[in-house]
Amino acid sequence: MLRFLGRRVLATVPALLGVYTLVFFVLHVLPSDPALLISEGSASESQLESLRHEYGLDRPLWRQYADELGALLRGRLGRSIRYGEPVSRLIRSFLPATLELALVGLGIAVVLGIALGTLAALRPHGWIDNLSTIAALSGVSIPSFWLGLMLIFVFSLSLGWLPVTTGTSWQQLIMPAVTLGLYSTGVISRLARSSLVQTLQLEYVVTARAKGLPPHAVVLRHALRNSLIPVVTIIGVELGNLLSGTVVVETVFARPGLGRLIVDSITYRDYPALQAALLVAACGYVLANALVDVSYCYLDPRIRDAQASYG
Amino acid sequence: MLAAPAVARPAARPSSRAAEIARRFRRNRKAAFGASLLAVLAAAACLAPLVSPYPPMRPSPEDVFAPPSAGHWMGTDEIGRDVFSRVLAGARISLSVGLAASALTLVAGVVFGLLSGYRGGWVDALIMRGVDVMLAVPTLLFALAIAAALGSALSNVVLAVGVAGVPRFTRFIRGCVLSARENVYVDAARAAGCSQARVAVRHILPNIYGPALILGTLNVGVSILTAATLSFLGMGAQPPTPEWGLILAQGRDNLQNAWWISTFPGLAIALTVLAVNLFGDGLHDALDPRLRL
Repeated sequence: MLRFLGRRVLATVPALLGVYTLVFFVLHVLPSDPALLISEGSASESQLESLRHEYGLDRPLWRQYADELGALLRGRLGRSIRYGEPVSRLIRSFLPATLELALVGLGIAVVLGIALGTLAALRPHGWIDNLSTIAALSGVSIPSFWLGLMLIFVFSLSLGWLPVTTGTSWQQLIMPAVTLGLYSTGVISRLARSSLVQTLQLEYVVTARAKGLPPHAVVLRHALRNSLIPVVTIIGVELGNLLSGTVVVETVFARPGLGRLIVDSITYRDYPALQAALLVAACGYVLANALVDVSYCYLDPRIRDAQASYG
Repeated sequence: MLAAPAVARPAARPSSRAAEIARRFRRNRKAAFGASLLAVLAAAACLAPLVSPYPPMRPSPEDVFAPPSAGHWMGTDEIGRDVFSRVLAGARISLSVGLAASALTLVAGVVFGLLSGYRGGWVDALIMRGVDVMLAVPTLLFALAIAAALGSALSNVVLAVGVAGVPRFTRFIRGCVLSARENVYVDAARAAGCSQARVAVRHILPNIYGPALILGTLNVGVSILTAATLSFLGMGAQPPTPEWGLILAQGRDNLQNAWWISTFPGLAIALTVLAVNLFGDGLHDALDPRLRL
């Protein structure tokens, strides 16, 4: 099991190297001059030259890539052009808020999505199923930035129930987490529904019913667990989407996090910060998918046995 | 007297596959609703210059922050522009951007997917490793990075959103091609001496159009949403363009005293994406009823 985990984590290294290369080359065709932005247009040509030299922007592209990759492998992410601080320090200060938001959003999506999907699967084409379809379709159709603004308007500005200001209290996390989790709730509920409908038709479920087990025991003890594999797969994908969704939600709710760092870094052409923030987000996405693979082993003993036999 | 022999009624002409698909689509109420909604939105987009009550860019200092009324159905914004006229004009922009970005994704995804799935070998390995790397970056972040690299403009949004969708599409089409190339008719075409390109284009491509069409349709909704998100974040359309995401962002600072500026464009985005999703789901059920649960 540990060997499988180690192999799966190692397999993410080439993907992350590829991501770093992709992000580096996409960003380095940026049309504007970061030195001009740092100096806010007030520097002379010689001052601009020295700024370019200071941040290594005057080197050939391949040299910048090789130097930065070497530094990255030694654990150095460079210095932020905008903040003038090491990027690793910025990431350390911004990441916890984003992780907190993404995990609470995911928790809301998983609980609501599985509950809604299960209820819908118990009576396909019934009113709960139709309601769940509408909720799921709304979830994937409503733009998160609009939903966030509407929640602020209703619950903060009109009713005054929740604070709109940024902070660390749980009340300040409710609206951003709901905004973030709604899209994934729709996706998870539809998948949970279709997977459970299929599982409920399998022979072992019919046998469990024939034994006289009460309906809730058939669903909860026999069918639900076995229908969760596709749901777990999509949860991994959704965690990645939630991490990228924080870009929008943190902007709407003015929360200081990795998403805000990405948007601000684009605005200020802060290459090192942007590159590192995108790499961290991609790491989260890749690792979430690796964790999903590992979780299969817990959910399905056949996969665990197959992994064990491959050694 | 012998009874006249019963004249057999001529057998009903078997309906074509297209007619069968259309019949199944029409019977699906959600799909029909999505198609109707989409038709209304498309008509609004096409006829926007004719039916718009006010020019969408014209400020009107005496009507600043006017709430929704008979004169201004969706109110006015901070410089007195009619929000309804701007939302109508935005329909044209958002639908065009969504369709153009999806067309780009579809064409590139089909070309790479066909090449990868049919050619195999090092071509497949090269394309798939590239796809793996691109899939490791979430779509929105990838689109953001491309939009940031290209600069803020509507044409760049089309490119960013279109390119960001290519890896997912390529992988999907490759899967369809891998399955289609195992069919007997492909072996027959090869045995008849068809070139590789001819087999791919004339025999495999027509047999994967169904799944490609479904994913392409659903992708229009994703593209509209992603493009609006880029504009909302300031990486897409620039003022005074009446793009839905941008109108919404501009109304954000006046949410308390002029809720209508942000509310109506957001509703327009949600309704459009909902219509596309219902239409795409209906198409999916009509083209492949076996997949319906």
